[in-house]
Amino acid sequence: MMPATSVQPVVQPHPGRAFSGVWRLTSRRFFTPGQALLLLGTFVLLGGLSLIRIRYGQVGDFFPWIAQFYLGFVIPVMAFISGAAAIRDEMKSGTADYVLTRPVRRSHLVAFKFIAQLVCSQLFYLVVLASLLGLAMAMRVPSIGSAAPRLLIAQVTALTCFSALGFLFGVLSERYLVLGIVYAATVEVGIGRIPTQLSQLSMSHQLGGLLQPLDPTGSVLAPASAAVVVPLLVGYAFVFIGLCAVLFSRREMIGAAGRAT
Amino acid sequence: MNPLIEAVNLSRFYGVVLGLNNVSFRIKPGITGVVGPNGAGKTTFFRLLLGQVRPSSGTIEVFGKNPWANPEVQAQIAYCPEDEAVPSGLRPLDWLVGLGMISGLSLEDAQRRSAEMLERVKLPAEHWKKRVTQLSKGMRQRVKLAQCLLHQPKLIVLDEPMNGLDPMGREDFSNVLRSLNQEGTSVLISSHNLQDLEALCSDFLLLRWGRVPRSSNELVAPGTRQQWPASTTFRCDQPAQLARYFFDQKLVVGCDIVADEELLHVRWADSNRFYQDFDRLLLECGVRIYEVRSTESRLEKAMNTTRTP
Repeated sequence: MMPATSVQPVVQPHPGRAFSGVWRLTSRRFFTPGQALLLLGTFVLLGGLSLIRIRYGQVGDFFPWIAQFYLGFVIPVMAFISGAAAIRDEMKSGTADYVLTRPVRRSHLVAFKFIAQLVCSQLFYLVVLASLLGLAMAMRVPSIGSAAPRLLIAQVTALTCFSALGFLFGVLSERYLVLGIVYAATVEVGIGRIPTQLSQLSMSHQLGGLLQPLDPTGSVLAPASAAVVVPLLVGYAFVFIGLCAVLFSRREMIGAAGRAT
Repeated sequence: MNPLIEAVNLSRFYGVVLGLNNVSFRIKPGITGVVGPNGAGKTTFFRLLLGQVRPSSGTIEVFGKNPWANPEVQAQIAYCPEDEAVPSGLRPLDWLVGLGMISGLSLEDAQRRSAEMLERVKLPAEHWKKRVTQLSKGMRQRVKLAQCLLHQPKLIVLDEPMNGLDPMGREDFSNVLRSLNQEGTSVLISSHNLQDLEALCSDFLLLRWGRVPRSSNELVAPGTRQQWPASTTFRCDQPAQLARYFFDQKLVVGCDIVADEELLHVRWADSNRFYQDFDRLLLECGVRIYEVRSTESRLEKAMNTTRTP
């Protein structure tokens, strides 16, 4: 039996260029006029809530609000959803058939997509946080300057680990929201509130410790140093993305037509 | 000639659903049509050779290598899927540059190649800045073909690429594929438009219910395609007179007249006799003839054989 033809390809797989390609496609789809409207809407909503909190509560209520609602709920949920949606998007036939048939390892593709998506998310929410802090300064909330670095670190870290979790759950199932709710109820709300070492597994528990100095009376958590919390949560993100890359590499892309066959 | 693709006892099942069932075949360089009714296993075959799914049993080799998630093989292949879904929010040029870079091209090369390929598939420049999702189906098919050509693949796999193209567009499309083939690129193409395929392809792979029926594939083997068709259709002003003339010449064994459409379908006793002397015969018959074509192409005949269990 004759061996099959073997020829040298004109192009060679090149991870650096592949990352640039993924970045171009991701950023161009992320930064669209629709996204600008979403940014404006997010700011109006959160800014409005901040104003209500500051005007009808006390000026000092701003920090507990931003720690518990914005960084403790909005950012984790939005990061999870956008991360899961980003990787699910890569698995849709409109994208997968064009990207996954190209000469790039799937594990690399997951890493590139995660980095590109994360950078876009970080830039988006950086604008939101800066706007909220600007609003707080305008409303003369005290100690904004000294709190800003801690808030920024918490936001960057929360976006990183919850986006990674979204990637993992996005690869696991197209019903990632259901998985996410079960996970949140079990780990973040359930185990995270139990006063044992197990609560360390909860990422929101870790973030709560990081933000405790901003809300010393309202928080029941012990304060935690950024030097401990940030590496730990980034480590979680590495684990999630590693698992995601393994699962994604082994996954068969059957496609709608294949299912029908 | 060494095969590009070689499948040995290849099977792929989706649970209890059959994709491909123990097929063995070789595909040589050139333009090869993959033909079969819906559900025959064409897309499964494409996904196997693109490394998107693994065989349930058996082997498939592309360029002598296992294609499953293999960037070395993928660097030499390009795919144009049947699915009309394209990424939203992207313009053709942006999309192609991004895909070119993922394939390993530098930014400059990706930009240059993207513009060249959009010109090659004749996408008018005013559409380059529109979002891909805003383009018409035919324009989108051109962009989908252009993305295949970016990294100069050695094998292009096209799944129903001519859907949505008008006749001129199909001709443009075919010409691009022919010129690619002359440049040394092989093409694997599936389409339900058998006439276009027969005009384009040098070889065929017929699939039925996940199998490769030998009898049907023998009908369209390259050697047999050199023969004259066994039946011919004439559109003329007096079909009955033309039929009498052919019977007098002892050329035919039977015929059907469709008077309303001025058609005569003829089954030849010996088609070589007619085709080797057809200019004289048609001049002598005394009938005004508007059209002469094969009644049923070999591919259609093979497909009809394929449909009959």
